[in-house]
Amino acid sequence: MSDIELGRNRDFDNVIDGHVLPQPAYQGEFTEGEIVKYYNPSKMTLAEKLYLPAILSGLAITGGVFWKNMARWAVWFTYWIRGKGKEAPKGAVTVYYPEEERPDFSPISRGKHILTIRNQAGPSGEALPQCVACYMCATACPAFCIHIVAGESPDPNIEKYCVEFDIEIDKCIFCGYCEEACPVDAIRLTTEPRMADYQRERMIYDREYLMTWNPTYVEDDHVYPGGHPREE
Amino acid sequence: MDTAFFVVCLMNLAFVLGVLLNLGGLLTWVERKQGAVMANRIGANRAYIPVPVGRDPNGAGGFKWSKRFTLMGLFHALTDGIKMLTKENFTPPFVDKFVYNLAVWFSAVPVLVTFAVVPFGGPFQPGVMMSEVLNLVGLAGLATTVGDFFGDGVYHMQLANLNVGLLFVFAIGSTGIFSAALAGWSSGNKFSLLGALRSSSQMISYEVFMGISVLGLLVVYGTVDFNEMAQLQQQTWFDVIPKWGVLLQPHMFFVFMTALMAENKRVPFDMPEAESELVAGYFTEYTSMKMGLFMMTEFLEIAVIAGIIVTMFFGAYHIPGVVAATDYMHWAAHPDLVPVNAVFGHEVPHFLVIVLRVGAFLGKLVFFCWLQILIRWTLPKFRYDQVMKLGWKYMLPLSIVNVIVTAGVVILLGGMA
Repeated sequence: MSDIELGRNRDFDNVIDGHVLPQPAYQGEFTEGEIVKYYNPSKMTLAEKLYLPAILSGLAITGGVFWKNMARWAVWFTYWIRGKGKEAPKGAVTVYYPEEERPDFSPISRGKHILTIRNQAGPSGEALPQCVACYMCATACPAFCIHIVAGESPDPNIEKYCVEFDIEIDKCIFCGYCEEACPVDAIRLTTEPRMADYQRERMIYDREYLMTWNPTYVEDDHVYPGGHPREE
Repeated sequence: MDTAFFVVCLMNLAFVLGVLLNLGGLLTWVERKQGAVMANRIGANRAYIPVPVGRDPNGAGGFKWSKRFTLMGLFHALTDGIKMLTKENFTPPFVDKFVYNLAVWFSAVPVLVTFAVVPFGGPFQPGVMMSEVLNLVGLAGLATTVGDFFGDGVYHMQLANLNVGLLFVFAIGSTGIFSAALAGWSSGNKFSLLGALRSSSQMISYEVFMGISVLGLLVVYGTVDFNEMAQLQQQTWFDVIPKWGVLLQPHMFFVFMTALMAENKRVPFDMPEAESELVAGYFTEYTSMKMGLFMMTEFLEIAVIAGIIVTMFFGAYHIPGVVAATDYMHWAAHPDLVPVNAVFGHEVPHFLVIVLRVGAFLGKLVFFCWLQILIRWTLPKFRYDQVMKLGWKYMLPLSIVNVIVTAGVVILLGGMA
């Protein structure tokens, strides 16, 4: 009988008093009987023990960062005064968030969901979702936040479509499994990160809302790409 | 008391209160913004004053409040004040009301009073200065009137010309302990009580060597009067190096500054407040502007600490090698002495010299405010035992040894160093 079959685990054989001894990286790294120190002994120099030089060098670092950033802000100011403040490099890595977005915001980041729309409108002219109500996204969803009600499509060439398509965005974990699972490219995750709201009811995105993703909405110099704010 | 003296006192009072209170408010902004810049962030930028410009593009009619003047987040200091003043002024039912309210006064008043003895511009002749300025702007008639009113009298740019200067600072500054101790005891809250205990032990520990650390400097100066200290620091070695306190006793500068910062109870010495352990420490039970006064005191104290350090260690209002030295000592004995108004050895108007001196003092003051906030955002908090160890086992013996050695050296040199 092997160890595995007996339920033994040899991985813990070298555990002594709860501490795992380091394995020698090569033959002869440790001599037999040597007491191996597996922690770093404190190596404080006199200057570090005195603490004052360490404080001064620390202040030099933070003060250096301060003045470096202030110099960058001064350069930024020369742009700003000419009305080019938005493009000019700042003395900070953060941005004025709702008004600005970081230029290096990842294009493959996963944010708000959309439902794609068919080219052909329905018989009465309404937009039809690409969705065929196969429930694969709802099945793949690890957070169980997608709820679909299937129905007969008004288009005679299409068998099924979603009558209701609700995403509980407050439960969504933005794993992207739904768009991986979708066979007809009906659901996608945009990069839009703005989903905060004041009412919990509005955290349930219905089919109509998920389908109104396309015009880019502009208000008060703030650009809200990929979706229109919902009516109050 | 003659009228001119009274008017000069009012002018000094207006200047000191104006500078100090505005600096206290500004420092709340500086604290946020400097910490942000040091951490590559933008910092306070949300508080704004909306200005109606243009119509609503969505066609709703009416003005659109679209332009937002944030002024680099400066309005955050204003919104802080509005918030503090308009919040509910709640007094918990279990507090000792008299002591609870008294503690707030013990917090703010000593700090403001301490600044009274700090000389911010040296001796000046208000009559000469004002008539020069008024002649410059073309009000010759008014200039004559003002000149006649003040005469050639020499006054001090200082609220209280006390010859006990530094002792006054220690005496009044020590009463700040009452604020934390009484606030904590009267609040009826265990967190407050722990904060009060910590603040009492910390402030008393650091006050012991705060006095002793500058004794060496007092031995060298031979005076506790801030005016005379400022005067003595205008002397030079070899006509080049100014005899600033920081060059006379550089090690004690660090010790004294440490003690003052520990008195202020801010990071890295924020044992009494210690948000992570004691909610807000001794002022946990305070609300609205009562709590705001405790916070404001900390910021005012930054400015006061900077003022004391500049006066004692960094030559007060003196610009070495630029502005001619004041003659305070002689003035004290001969009030009718004609002052020397010279910049780089050239004769200049009196008001220019005063502007340079006050500007130098304020510049140094702002630098040390900046330095204290830099320290606050750089150093991690001490553990409680480390605070005590640093105070009693290192700073106190060092201060005592310094007094003995300095006194010995001064005796050997036969007088002032």
